[in-house]
Amino acid sequence: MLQEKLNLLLTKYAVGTAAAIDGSGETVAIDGTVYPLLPHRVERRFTEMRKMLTDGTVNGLSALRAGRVDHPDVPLEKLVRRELDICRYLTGSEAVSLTAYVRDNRAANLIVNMASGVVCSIEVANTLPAYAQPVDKHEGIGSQGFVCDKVVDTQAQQSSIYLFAGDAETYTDVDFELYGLDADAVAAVRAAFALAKDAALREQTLADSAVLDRMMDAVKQSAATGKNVKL
Amino acid sequence: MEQLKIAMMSMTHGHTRKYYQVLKENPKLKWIAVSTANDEVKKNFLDKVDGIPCYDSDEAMLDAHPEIEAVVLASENCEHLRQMKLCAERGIHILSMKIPTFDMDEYDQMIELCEKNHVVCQIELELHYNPVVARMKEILASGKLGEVLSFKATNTTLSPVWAFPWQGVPEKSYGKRVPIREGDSRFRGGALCDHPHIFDLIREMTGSEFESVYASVAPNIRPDIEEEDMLNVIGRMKNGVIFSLDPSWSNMEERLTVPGPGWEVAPKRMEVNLIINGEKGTLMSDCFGPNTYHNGAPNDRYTVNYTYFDEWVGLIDEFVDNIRLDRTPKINLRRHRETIRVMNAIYDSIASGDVVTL
Repeated sequence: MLQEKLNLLLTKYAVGTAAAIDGSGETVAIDGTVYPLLPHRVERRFTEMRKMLTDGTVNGLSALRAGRVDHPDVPLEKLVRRELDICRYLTGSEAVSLTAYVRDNRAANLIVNMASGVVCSIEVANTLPAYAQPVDKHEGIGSQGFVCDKVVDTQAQQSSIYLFAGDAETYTDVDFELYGLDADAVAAVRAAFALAKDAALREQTLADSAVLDRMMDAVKQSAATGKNVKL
Repeated sequence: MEQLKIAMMSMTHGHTRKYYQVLKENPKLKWIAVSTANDEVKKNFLDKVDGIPCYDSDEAMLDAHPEIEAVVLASENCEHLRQMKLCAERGIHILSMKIPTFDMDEYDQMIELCEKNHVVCQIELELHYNPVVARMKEILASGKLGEVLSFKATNTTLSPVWAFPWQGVPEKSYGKRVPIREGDSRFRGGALCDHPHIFDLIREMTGSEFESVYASVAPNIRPDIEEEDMLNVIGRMKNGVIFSLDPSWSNMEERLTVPGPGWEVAPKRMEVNLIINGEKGTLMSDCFGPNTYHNGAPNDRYTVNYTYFDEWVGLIDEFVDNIRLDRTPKINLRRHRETIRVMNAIYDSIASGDVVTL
């Protein structure tokens, strides 16, 4: 399904590059090189949040709160890595130090200090039972305004459609071109497509991935030593 | 049970107004008098409450009303030791605001004073009487979550410094002027001092004590106040539970001198949300929601209007019972000392930039 939708975009927009997305939506192979996908960077909620943090809608960013609780089959490292990159993406800044507490590869709490002075807090866990939708929230607090991807005074993700007939069902469709994919799959296909059509972005993605590798090393070092680690 | 004859002092604390209704309506109480710290708070009080004698000094009130059995110290932190002495030496029981003092020597003097004079001193940590918190404790005790792995809590609010100016003065809030860290123009005494609740709640809910803390202050979203307003704290409890606690003043406000409609710039003025991850699942809660919402007067802003705020009912009921039945308050000075010690360690972590082991 992911490849089919990717092919649809490649054909429609006449992108001649051959691109093969893996079934889990984590990587794409282009011209013999495998590139990691950073799908959150094309997720519309994050592109809109970044826009508001940079176009003067929300000014004087002070702190960023990022969190996600997912299922036990999602490795904790993957959750931490994603949130670290979301912090980089939304703040437009690199980390200068971080402190991490990790419990049994099930939960992690971090404070990340960015070069811009923004302080990011990250809380992740993979403790949700299978029936539950992953819960996440991202919030930027500025001296003039805040931006958040959740409705005020709510805790769980809202859906676009609630069907109460037979078994209760919910739907959240976010992309007309890629209709039928859920939001995570849409982001994966969009990220793969973005790489297929932009060679410079492919190089940037490899560079971003290398930065994240170093940050993940720092997370492990901090968790193991109980110290703040400079980057 | 005989009515408890109660009074209030200073009336400068942000929680002062919370007591008006309960002191008037709780049949276990007889509200005798108040003393006000200055003309402004005296006027605010007299505008709101009729029929309660109001004095310009604590001593004058106590001298005029020897029948007073208990006092709510609704005052700035720097006044607490003096007022505790005044009360304890007369055998008057005390309901202290959430921060008795940050000075640990003063704190120990308070313990000695109350124990020597056999007076009840209960600390006002009202979340213990919140219905959502009660349900959370019940769920935790049921074992449905399994072993707790991590604990997250926010206690974020608007900044009270415009309405309650002492909270913006380091000497009155923290007790002295201590730079937040080297090279920083801010001082201890801000958002952290305002929000001890979650540092107490995690002790209660995990049944454990703090092992280590790391904290970082972010740039102020109110650059013109001289204390911290944005910070985050992470760490580990002795039983292995890791935590993330956010006590920031991150909910922006209009700079009203008297709290009232239109105080909010951020839609919700206070949020206490807890997320507890356990081996068997995740527990999420909003201790103050759901609510009602409006975009009406005075600023036509989308605003959260709270639907319940009855923590003070349970708190006062327990206070009366503690006095009449000679019980030790659950949140007593000795228990709360560790929370205050940890909050000081958080300031130390901010100053050093590293983890502090307790």
